Amino acid sequence: MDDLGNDPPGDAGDNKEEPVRRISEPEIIGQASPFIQDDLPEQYVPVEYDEGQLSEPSPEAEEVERQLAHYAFVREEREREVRLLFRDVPADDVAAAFRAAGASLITLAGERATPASAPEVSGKEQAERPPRRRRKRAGSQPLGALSLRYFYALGETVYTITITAPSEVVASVAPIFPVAALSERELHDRMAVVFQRPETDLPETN
Amino acid sequence: MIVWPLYSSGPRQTSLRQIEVIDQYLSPPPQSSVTVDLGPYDASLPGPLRLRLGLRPSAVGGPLGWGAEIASADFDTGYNYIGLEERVASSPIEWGSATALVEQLCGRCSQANTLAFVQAVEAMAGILVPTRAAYLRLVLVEMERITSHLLNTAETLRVLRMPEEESSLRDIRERVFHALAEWTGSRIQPGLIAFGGLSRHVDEPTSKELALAARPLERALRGHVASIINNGELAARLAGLGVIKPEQAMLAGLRGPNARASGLTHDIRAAVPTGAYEEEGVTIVAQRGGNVFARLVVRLLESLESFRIVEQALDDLPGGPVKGRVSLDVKSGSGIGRVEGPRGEVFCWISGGPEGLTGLHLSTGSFPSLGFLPSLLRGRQFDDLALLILSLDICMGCLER
Repeated sequence: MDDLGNDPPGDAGDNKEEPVRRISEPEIIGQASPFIQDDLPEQYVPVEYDEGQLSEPSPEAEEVERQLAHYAFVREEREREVRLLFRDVPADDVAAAFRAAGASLITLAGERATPASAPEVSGKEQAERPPRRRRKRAGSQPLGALSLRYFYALGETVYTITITAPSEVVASVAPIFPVAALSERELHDRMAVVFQRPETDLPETN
Repeated sequence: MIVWPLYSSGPRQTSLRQIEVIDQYLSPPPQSSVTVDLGPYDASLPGPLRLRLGLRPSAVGGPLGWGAEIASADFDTGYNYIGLEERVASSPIEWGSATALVEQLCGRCSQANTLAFVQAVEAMAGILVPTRAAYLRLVLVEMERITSHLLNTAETLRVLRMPEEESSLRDIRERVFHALAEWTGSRIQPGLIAFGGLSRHVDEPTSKELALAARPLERALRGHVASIINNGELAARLAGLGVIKPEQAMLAGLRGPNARASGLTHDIRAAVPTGAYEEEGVTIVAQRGGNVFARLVVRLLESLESFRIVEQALDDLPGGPVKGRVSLDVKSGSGIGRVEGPRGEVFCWISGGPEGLTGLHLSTGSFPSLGFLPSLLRGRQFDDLALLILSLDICMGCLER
């Protein structure tokens, strides 16, 4: 049971005593479909699965967390997910640590917390206020604290890295993980997040 | 290629418009670059998208031996923006309506998106799913993969002007939709996947009918796949086109068939199996070519593999209920869901509590594919634009979430 009082999925109920049975271990690609082997041109032979991709990520995961240890963070672990919460740390340093461990960036997302100075009002209370005054309040309402959430895949585990950025300026991770470029562009357009980075681009293809 | 009657004789007369076009082709190729704006609505684009291309003269292609090469490419999105994530962040959405909203984001990947969302919620709330429901969810997602891959392949064959093969694949796709509609009551977005299992009961005879319908479809598709893959002319046209090396695919974060066509054998169904994928074996289809033909081959073979998985899952379908005990009256928390959709991994992060869904982030395989599109287009012939875009199989519905 975690700190939210929930049983993690898969560990509760009648499955509690049974270990998870995994019969979908990597097969040699193409074996299950003889058609694939027989009919493909020679240069399109199936690729053998790299079993290392399914191995437990423990050493790499430990190495990442060791590298990030000089930043203060809050750690929380769930099934197949580790959450690390940082405050105002360089996102590119964190990305570099994950890159060195062989992780891949799945995606990133932004979020603005509800400002503490703007208490939540119910729909009825809001309706009772004069509309002009409400518009004025809404216009001067400060933006909430920005936090960015990076999702890294390291083996089976997803690392959810939350970085709060009060300065609204965040180091770009696109030079390390080019896949982040589009997400950063979207966050810049929609949430006015400023990403600092040198001009880079994805590598040219042949 | 347009072939105009340069020296026509007899009653056919060359029109003024034709003479203008002939003059255009006979004139020397332009020396300076031109910029072409495509979209937001264009037949060669995967959806509402603006593509700005810088073209320069090229010595390859064109009816008189010169053509246009793409020197630069850039895009703008947001023409069909739904804003669901912002909507959720601004005010909570009730759990009951959230699933339908996520399912309706996209027509071609609706089941994969919904399953990732539902799995994220189930992970947050600790909801267990009955085995029968897990199997039926797998069937839904795999059938969606078949229809999505067949659509992309048929579109590619349309661009290549192979109408017979195109119509054959479209016919099989329609029959898959028909079987799906007979089974669930709806061709797309059946609203079946729900927290804790399925929203409706699927009885045994209906499941057996689906299994019976799937077998002849697989056999029919197998024949067409063999003829397409062994078509030497097609392979020669596509094999050198749009090559993505494995390291480029890895760096760009490509997912799904696009990555597997470049030799990256990553598949969430095998790497991080959840639900019925823990029980049913999945064969990963991969190619080494990394070109447009390899991506076409991967999608065709994956369609066959999905048929095999559907048949196997329906054969192994256990009995029992299709919905577990669901209680979303939990403390605030968050969860993640990962599903292999038709375009690669669908990743979903949610946060919420008793008040409903308060945070949502959905990332699909189309995201890295669109990010990589400018790099893929640069240096290619303008004539190949439609084939290159189709080969990445970008879904704008998922992007504009």
